[in-house]
Amino acid sequence: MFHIDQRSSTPIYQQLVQEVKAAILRGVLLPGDRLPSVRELASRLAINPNTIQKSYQELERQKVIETLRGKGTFVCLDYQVREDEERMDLFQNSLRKILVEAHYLGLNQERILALVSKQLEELGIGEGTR
Amino acid sequence: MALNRYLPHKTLFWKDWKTSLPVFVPFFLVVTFATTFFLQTEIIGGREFIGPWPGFAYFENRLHANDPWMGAAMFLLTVALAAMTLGQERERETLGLLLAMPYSRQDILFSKVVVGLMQILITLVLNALLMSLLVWANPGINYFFGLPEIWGWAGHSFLVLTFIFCFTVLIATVSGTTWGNYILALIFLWFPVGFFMLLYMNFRIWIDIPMEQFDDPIPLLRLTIEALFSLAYLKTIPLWLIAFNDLIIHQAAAGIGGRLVVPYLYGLLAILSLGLYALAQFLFARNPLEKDGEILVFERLEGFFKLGVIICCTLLVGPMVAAGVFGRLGEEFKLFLIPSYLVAGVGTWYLINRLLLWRRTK
Amino acid sequence: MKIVADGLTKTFREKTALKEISLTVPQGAVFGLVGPNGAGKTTLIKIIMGLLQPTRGSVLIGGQPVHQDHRIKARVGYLADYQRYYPGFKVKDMYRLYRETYQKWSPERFEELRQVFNLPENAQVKHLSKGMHTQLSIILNLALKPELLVLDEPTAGLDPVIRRQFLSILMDEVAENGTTVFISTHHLHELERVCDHLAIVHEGRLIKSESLEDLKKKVRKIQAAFAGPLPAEVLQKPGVLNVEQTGRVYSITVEEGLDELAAELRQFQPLFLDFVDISLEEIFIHRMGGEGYGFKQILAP
Repeated sequence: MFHIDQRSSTPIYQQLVQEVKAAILRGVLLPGDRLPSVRELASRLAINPNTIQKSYQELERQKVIETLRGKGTFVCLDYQVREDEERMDLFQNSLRKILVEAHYLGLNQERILALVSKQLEELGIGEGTR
Repeated sequence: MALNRYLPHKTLFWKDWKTSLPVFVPFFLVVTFATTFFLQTEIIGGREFIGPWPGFAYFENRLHANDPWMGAAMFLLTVALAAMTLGQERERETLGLLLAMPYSRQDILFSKVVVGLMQILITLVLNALLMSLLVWANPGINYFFGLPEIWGWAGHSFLVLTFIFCFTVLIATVSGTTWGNYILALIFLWFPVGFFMLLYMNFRIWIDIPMEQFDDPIPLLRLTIEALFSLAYLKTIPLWLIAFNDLIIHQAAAGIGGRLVVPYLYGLLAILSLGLYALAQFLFARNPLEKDGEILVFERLEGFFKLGVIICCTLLVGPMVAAGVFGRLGEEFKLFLIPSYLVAGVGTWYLINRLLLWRRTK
Repeated sequence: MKIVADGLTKTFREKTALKEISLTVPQGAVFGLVGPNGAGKTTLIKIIMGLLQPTRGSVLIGGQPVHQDHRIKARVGYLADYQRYYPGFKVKDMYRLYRETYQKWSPERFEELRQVFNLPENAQVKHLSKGMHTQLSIILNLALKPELLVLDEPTAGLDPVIRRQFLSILMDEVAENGTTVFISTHHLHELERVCDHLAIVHEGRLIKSESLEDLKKKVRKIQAAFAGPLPAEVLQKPGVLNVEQTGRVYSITVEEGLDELAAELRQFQPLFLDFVDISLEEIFIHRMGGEGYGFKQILAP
């Protein structure tokens, strides 16, 4: 379900955070679904449980998932997709880099916006999606 | 619970028993063949064992008279039993496996010794039982021995073989390979007799004294010669001690003094065996166990070992070389002796170094 | 169970295999020992297990000097660099050996693992493949309910499937029981997934020993671009591992003093300045590049 690229320079725990979010976005994980326990995931992916724990903690901090004692960890029913200042900065930085790259690929504004639209469509992020 | 301290750990016992079977089974078969089986065939053949009790040595010879190599085999297989039990652990590096487990070195060695001695005991007792049965079931034959002699044989053999076993185990704690253990044990068991013989032989070459004059003034030397002759039956040092004892019994009056020597000698053997075992435990605890597969593990022993071997080879090979090159007797022979000593000594030193180096680099 | 090694030095006949190695494996850590062949990993592990005596220095497991106290080994599982076995022993004999040796042996755990692997019980141990040997070791070492697992290159020579299975089970064990693990490996990627601490040895010396988290925080890359050229001295600091320059863009790998360097660079009005995470592999390439070629082996997938 989750793919970790160990050659990537992105820390593993961060990759896992992104993977969980992508899974929710794609609809593989729905609000209220139970996530594998730390132990299950550590075993399944052959990753240190502390790393898994860290990912889950981050996801909990972002209110993407929540842990119910004695029951397990679940995707939040009322996940609020919201803006977070710190992550906004990071996001804008990444966006900037991508746009610089796009420019040097020879893409003009029109082409860039077209590509963006295509991606949004594929990911199912519509105008009103929250 | 207190009893457990005096018994080996049951798992170690099982493991040592199982892994020593390849040598124990031949040992058992050889002894049974040489004794019970032999006796059985003799009985069937209607042989008669008549005459006064001539002593253990003779009894043992008669028992093995079918094939003197049986006696040798018993001795050699006991050495093998001890050489293998520790040597194989080193060579297969299973000792590393064992030591990573919650066993102390003491436990490990203790179990091996108990297993070995039990195997020897079982073999001898079983055969003594069978022979007793045979004697009891066939009363028509005139045996020169009876049940006491059979069980005396068993007890005597047990003490002798225990000594040999413990001695070899001691050697095994300083040597790293099974063959190394084996050969070193044989060498050191023979060493006093062999060395004495070589000294005597060389001494005789330099000083030409006819045999007869040696007979009475120095009984020890005569006994040495007799011991040398009994090499044909591959008796061991302890047996030589027993033969020595026989002579004392014959020479002394049949008083208390003569009779007490026997228990003293057997007692001495038993105490020596215990001492050898204790020393083996001591050395085993201190052995760094780093160089498995090397013949000698303690570095200081190497020098001593080399020296001993060189001296013996010099004394042995020197006269042989001189005799080969020149005739046996005469003053010229003695002239050749010195350079041939040198050749033998240097040659041995070179060979030993190569051997130890070869083992080390393997 | 904690391991504390202090000043371990080991000299064999001619060679010094270990030079003053001191490290601490915290309770519950998964500690990875990495280094090229001949670096001294196996020697270090054997000393930790009490199989070899150090020439100098000491090592304590769970507070006990392991060489003297054999009883502590009742709680330690060990997987040697290559499998040793008694001739004629079958798989079920090995089961018996371990079952009767370790007091904490758990029949339930044993059954569980036995079902997973389904090894032929009457097979001679010497006929087992390397993969099956490893599986056997897993069964034996986990069923004894260890507080510490010491593994000497357990995944070497295994096919990817078995290797993955091994690591999965190991992670499961750590997650469930908080077992401390000390594992030496050749594979950096493996280490990065599985370990939370790492130590690098090279030619008997300890190059580094710290938690992966600290390492990843300290060692990062600064990517920055400047309008004009940068004076060379700025980048010639001891903490700088590597500098790559493409046109105006600098990629600076920093081991120590990240924030100070960044502050200094900001004074030169960079067009942009970012911190980038860097993989363990890169850290290695740059850090060990100076130490010798041997480290290429570690970067195998």
